[in-house]
Amino acid sequence: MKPRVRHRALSIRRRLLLWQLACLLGVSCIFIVSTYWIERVGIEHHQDLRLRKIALDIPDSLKPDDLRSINVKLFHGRDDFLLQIWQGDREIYRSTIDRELPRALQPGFGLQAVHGEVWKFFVRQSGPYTIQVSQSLDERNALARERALHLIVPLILLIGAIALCTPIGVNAGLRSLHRISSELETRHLDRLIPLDPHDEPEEILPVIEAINTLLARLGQAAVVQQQFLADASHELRTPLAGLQLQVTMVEQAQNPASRSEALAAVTASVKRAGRLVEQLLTTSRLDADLPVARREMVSLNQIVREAIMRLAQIAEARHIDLGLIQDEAAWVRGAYDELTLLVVNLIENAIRYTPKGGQIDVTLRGQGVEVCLVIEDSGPGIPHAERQRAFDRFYRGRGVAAAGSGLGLAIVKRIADRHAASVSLDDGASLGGLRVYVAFERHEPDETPPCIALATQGDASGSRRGIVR
Amino acid sequence: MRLCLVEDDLAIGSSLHAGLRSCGFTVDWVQDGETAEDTLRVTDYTTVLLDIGLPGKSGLDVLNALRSRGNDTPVIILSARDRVADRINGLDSGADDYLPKPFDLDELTARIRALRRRRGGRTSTLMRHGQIVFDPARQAVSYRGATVSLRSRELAFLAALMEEPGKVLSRSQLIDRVYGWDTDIESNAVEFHIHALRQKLSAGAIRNMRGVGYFLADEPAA
Repeated sequence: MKPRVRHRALSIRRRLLLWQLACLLGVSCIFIVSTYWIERVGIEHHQDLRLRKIALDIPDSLKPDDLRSINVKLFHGRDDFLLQIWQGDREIYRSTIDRELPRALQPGFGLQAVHGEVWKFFVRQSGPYTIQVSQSLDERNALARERALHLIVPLILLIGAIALCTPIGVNAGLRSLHRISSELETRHLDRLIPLDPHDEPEEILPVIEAINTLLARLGQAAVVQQQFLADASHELRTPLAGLQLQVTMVEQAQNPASRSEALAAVTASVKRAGRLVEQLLTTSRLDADLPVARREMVSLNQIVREAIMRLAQIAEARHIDLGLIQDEAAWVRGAYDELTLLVVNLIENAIRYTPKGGQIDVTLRGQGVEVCLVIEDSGPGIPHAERQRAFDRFYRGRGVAAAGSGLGLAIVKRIADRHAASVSLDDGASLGGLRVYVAFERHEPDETPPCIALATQGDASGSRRGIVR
Repeated sequence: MRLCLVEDDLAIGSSLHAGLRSCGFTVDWVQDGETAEDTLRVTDYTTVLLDIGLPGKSGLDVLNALRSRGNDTPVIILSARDRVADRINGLDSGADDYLPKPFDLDELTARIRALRRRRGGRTSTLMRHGQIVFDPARQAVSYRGATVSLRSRELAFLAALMEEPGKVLSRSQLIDRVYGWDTDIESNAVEFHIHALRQKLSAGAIRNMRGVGYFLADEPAA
């Protein structure tokens, strides 16, 4: 596989800066352009007034000798206006030498283009004179442009100031994150004190809240974990303690009979310890919060039959009548191995707690959208008050000669949870002992591979009979 | 010495029961908290060996009930919970010792003896009364400097009398301390074993207070 190169995400500082600068540049451009247009309109009006004023300021009683002084008075150095005076058809005055416009025909304002340059003019008839004052539009545009471009310098300064200040502001904001991270570094599994949200900016508060929630959950998990460790080590030490004492008894045995008796006890303890380790490993494997590895269509009928066959000998040895009394087609979706473990654990549990000569009935029923597995025994049952605790790890029923690991029902519950099935305990109606009731979601075996379907001899209803048989 | 063993685990319980008996202790074994409480209410024990994780009532509950009745019988907790907090909790609840599982049988018996020794205010591992020297660790007795070979029942009777030297023990108290529950006792067992003890030690070593019981004679030490 090609290694994927991961680019680091832009830092908040840089990202914020880029966004701000982009926005500022955009806004600046709009600002400059709109300023240009607003100025252009203002200049149009203003310059028109000036054109007119210049034309009107020339007295009607004009004498050609006055012209030079008028020139000085009107333009005082500015050459953006062009004043032309005609007497009849003869031009008698022009304010500059290098430019010249033809005489307009109508008095008042007007536009005319000469050599690609557009001029605005105002014409007034004064006695024998025709006075025409003109100004190039280029001139006006340049003026507006000049005014708009004056904005560039303050805008650049503004952008620079923001570019400088943003990191400072962002750093101040990020100080909270630094504080949180350095505080989190001091947290240990046994010291998960929540973070103090005091004085933090409100943007950070949800983060702190989320972290505190996580810390609380972590703390709970740690407590559960520690409890489990303590329980597990207790459970592992107990058979070891038994073994150690039993080995002492073997050493102290006076005769072969008591020696072999002591050895048998050692063997039994080793078996028990082995089973405990097995169960512990199973719970820890099921503990991992992973979904069921492979969900397939599974026939509970087959699983139950196999489990009963597997445990028949143990039941027989204890003179317990173990039987499957109802066997309706029961298809569920799940992991075959785990469901087998569930059924075996339940039946084993029933065998362990049922006195000699007792009875265990296993029932499989399809009820509407559910498939029910019911295991009922003639044992002592579990007192009502303890039923909820019965699913806890290392819970053991009372008055049992051959105590189990206390993990059986915990394993059952875990597997049931992983399969979205419900487990409940109540009083057995017919046998008087405990009744375990497991309800699964019912599935139809349509997409089932034939090998599993053939293995089932369930009492399938209606159209499915053909497939199942 | 009569011990009460409170232990729900069958393997540990049966081995301890047998092992302690072979070490010369009288052992009554109960397997749950409620029975333990009832038993401790009616019977006096030299020492109680108490498991914590019991079905029904926990060992600590049994211990608390025992101490709140003002009963100061030495208690050794035998538990697979070996965290420091567990031990502190056990000792603070009134236990005299805390032995984490798994443990060695010899260590347990040594601790039982040590506890008895401390209770009796003795510093020596040997119990002495007059001319009698009793070594509980080796289950050996010497009288006037010479080793005396005693059978296990005789040892048990002597040990019971030496627990509280000078105190008169009635016939039924002696039977209680020497025999646990599950032994068939001959009607003349006490007389029989006391007679044997007198023969092996001396006729005057064990005195009889008529109608009351037996006690050890106050002989001057050698």
